[in-house]
Amino acid sequence: MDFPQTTGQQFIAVSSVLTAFSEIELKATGMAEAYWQTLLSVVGMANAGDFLSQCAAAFEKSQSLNELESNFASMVMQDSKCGALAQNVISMWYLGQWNQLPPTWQDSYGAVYNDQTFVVSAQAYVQSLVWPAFGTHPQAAKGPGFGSWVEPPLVRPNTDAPKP
Amino acid sequence: MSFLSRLHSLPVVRPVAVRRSVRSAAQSSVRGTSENNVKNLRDHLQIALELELSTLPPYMCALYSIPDGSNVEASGLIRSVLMEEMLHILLVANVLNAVGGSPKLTGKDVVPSYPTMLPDSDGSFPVSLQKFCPEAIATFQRIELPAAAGSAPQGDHYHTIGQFYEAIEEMLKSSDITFDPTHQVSPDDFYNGHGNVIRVSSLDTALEAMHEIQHQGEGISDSILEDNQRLDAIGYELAHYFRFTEIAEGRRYKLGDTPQGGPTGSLFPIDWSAAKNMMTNPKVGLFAPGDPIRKQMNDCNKMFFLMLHTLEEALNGGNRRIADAVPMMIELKQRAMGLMNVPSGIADTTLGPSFELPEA
Amino acid sequence: MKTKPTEPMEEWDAIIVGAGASGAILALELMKKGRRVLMLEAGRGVRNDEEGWNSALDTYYNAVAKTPNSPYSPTRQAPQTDVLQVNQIQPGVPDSAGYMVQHGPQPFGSDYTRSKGGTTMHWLGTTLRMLPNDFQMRTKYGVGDDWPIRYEDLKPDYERAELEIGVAGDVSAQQLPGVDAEKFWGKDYQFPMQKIPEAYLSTRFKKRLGKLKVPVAGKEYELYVTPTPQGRNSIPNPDYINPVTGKKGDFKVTGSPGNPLRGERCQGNASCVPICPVQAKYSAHRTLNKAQAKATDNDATFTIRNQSIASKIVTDPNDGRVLWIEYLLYDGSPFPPQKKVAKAKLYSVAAHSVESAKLLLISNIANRSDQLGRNLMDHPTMLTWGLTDEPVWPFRGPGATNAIPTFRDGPFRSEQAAFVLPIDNWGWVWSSFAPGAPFADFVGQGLFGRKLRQNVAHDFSRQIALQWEFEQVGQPGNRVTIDPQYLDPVGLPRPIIHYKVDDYVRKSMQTAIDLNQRICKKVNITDKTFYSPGAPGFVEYEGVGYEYRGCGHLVGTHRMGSNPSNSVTDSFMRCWDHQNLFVVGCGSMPTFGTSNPSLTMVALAYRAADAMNKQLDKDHTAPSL
Repeated sequence: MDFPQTTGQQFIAVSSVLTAFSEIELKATGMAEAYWQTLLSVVGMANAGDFLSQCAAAFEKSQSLNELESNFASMVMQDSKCGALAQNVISMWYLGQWNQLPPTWQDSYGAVYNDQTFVVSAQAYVQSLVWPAFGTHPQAAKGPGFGSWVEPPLVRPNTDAPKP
Repeated sequence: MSFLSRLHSLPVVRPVAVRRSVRSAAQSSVRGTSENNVKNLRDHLQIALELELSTLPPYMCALYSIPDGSNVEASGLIRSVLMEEMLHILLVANVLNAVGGSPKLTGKDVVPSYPTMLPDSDGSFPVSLQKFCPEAIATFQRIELPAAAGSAPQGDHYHTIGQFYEAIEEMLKSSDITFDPTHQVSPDDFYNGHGNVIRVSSLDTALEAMHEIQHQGEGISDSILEDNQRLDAIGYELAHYFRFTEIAEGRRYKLGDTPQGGPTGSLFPIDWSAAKNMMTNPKVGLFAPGDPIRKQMNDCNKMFFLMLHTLEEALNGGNRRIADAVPMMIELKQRAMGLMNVPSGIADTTLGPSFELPEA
Repeated sequence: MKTKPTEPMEEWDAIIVGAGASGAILALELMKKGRRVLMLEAGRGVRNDEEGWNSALDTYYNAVAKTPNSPYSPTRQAPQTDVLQVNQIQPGVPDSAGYMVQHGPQPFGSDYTRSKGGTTMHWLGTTLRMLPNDFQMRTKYGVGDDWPIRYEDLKPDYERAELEIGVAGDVSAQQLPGVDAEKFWGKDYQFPMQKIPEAYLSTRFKKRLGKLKVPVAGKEYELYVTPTPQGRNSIPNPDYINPVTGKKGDFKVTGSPGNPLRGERCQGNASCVPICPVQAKYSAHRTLNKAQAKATDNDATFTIRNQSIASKIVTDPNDGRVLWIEYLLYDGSPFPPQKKVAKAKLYSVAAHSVESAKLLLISNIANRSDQLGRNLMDHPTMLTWGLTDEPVWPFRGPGATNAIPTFRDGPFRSEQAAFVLPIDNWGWVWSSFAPGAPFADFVGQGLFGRKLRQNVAHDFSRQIALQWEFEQVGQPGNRVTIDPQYLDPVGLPRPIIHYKVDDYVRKSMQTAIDLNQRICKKVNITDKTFYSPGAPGFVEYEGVGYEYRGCGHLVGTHRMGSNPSNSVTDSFMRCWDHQNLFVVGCGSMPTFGTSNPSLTMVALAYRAADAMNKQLDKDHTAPSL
């Protein structure tokens, strides 16, 4: 599958695979740049570059989304360097939060700046995607209006049991 | 046919002349045919509804382009006007229902295509969907421009929205209609905004509803205030025009200020550059079918029309309640704000809500 | 010996310590009579405009751990407890990690807020009245203590409290065990606002529960679900008769104290604790604003002095009257606070249970009965949680719109604690830090992409939790003390807490687990409850482990009573030992049954305010030095 040319587009493409939110849904949060910059600033250019390269390799090997997910599983998620970074990219999109990397990651690859658990920004929390993923809005943000909670949510995700 | 041309094609009652108790030919002819009279009144009220509705999208675009935390005072002022325009829709709908009409909020003709033309004393002027910027605020001032005191309309058209409402008032007064109090929006359904919903069941309550709209919009003659009330620290008692003037000047009015003198109260910072760079008058058609952008914009339009359909049903005594439209309005806001985060690919602008009839 | 202060003292009609709900009610009522009042607040005065509230909201958004106090950062000088600082306590080793020094044997899990607005900044907003039997625990059940007053005595003040807080609820839907509704509410009584709409989750639960009958202590009970009265904005009730004016429909919804055009209705932000973004939930700021406005109208004086920590109350050794109050005024600088003194005709300490007791203990007053600081209570709260077999869409609307009140009273109370059972509307937020922690678990298991999203949608939309809140009765050993060994940054003693959850409560935990299994079976919930032996609130009963948490209901410590030997104050909250000193707040309550204490606290504040006004009317002479 095609991997985009520019870094910004690459990060969005990778994020879309990791989160299962569409690229335009991710862009609509307005957070893509902040998350990429967070990754870059905490782990440094070289590590972030390796992460994107590994993702690019997975894209190149894949012909379909099924293959892409399976290649991401083996090539990115299980990679000792990229797995933890991928998990943090997921955490930023879903929770707005950077998690301190495992100590072994730090030992092997060396984060460069401020590797601790933090909320990327107030807006990152407001735009966090875990909430719409199960039919609601972040606590204390985007309140849907008086009495809305009497009915099921206006916009409902598919809640079928995940296929094994 | 846009509501502007429909507005201009309506038979005219000369409100100023009526007020001076000069029996014009137009008025006596209206008196003569009671049935036509009522139909004419309903037509005018439907136009009024569309007029109020047409102000929502431009106000929403400006308001939603302001990111959280910036321009707090300006966004509070725009929001307050937006809320009051929604109140006006409910008020007009109550009057229209009371005179036996059925408020219509959906359909091809009801929501205009932007840029659209709105009436004012110099004819008409274009209103665009655009971000929070000086041009938008100037347009908003023009929308809400009060008529000069005592000005009489020349020619065949209504020149200001205020004069149009005065004409409706005169029609109400001169008709012998019986008011039907079913299908009235309750005061409980409007909150978080200045002003009250008035249940219309008589001529008096109908006039009260009309006055509420006029006073909030244009205020009373020769005053910055919408009514003879105390100007408190919040300042939402200012007529709409003057709230926009506050934004334009970055300065609050204070007690004793006059329309001519402008605001002389405290300064407040305005940061035009903080606004999302939404493209002016976005259109779904700018993007190819199959482009995810097109779907995203269309989804936003769907939510707008779902809200209008729901409101319309609620106003006509259907199964939906006004309250059902509230989550839709909030979802519309989230979708509109989301669009303003997505680059359009056209210059350095972002997408925005186009408020077009949605594609299937 | 007392040394007289050298600088001239300010003189007031009344000095109130604490800018929370109790103090606000006192101030408002004093303003109605044109008094001159000084209010001392130890913490910050949050900026009370829209930007100020938004800044607290941003602090919350930015907090990794979104605890009840997270939006309201304390000052260095007036620290406060955070619920994350609660640990298991090793015997003989007090835990001083947090602001409160915990001696155990069990940790006290609740916090309060030290800033203007007090703990109403993060209260949930539940406004249950106490039941008549709650006032007579000793007489009826032989446990705990009787109040010096009965439910009927407090009833008019409950009505005033419901008006001021702005309670939304449906009187006719309340089903209270052992209560004659017409007698309890009064004929035709209504709440000021219509009920908060009931959450989808609760209505599904209610429907599936049906009429479940369960045995408790040898007797059969039916579980029933009722809508909970709440202090948050809803639609005004046209049939409400304002108890002050006597007029029907006389109630105006109060919006946000920072912007009256917001918060006129609950917006369903699902974050009542710790912050309502639009302030549709009552907070003491509303009453403080009213008191300020009243001061202007009545030519009275109401001065709130923030960052002013009351440090000592000085009394006359002969007649016990308070002579003056000392306080520490500080600012953001590193310099030590300035010592200040002020005097008044009347004094009122309304600084919440722990701080009020602490101030009186420091001052070494009001303790002839040896009850000061004792009988600290909470509602130890046990959670059970699971997954429903259909989406119930949690995390929408207020924290709990419904509860099961079946066990708020009954003959079992002679042996075990009563309990109330709110149906949590925010999934596993309290039990498991949902959605963050369960989400992190998914990611930790290697889930990503579509499978991750499907798991989130499937599981999180089915989360449900029940909140078993147990009554606790006063125990002399559950207490607040002070120890010069433990001082805060301004040199004042930190509160030392001794706390035990006894078998009266633990027996009901056992009952609760049995009931939970029956409920899960009937409602079709897959139970996921798990209590870790390492959890701070892990306790055992008959060989089985349970876990409680603090409910934020800090009660006791300066109980009222019928005579000076069994209590700190009389029923008007006037100190037996100090005729011009009132101590007002949740600490005044000898018991509190299963009701969240804020409503009763506000009712009591009205009672105290009336007594203070009466005393000021009588006492025209200022106290002399």
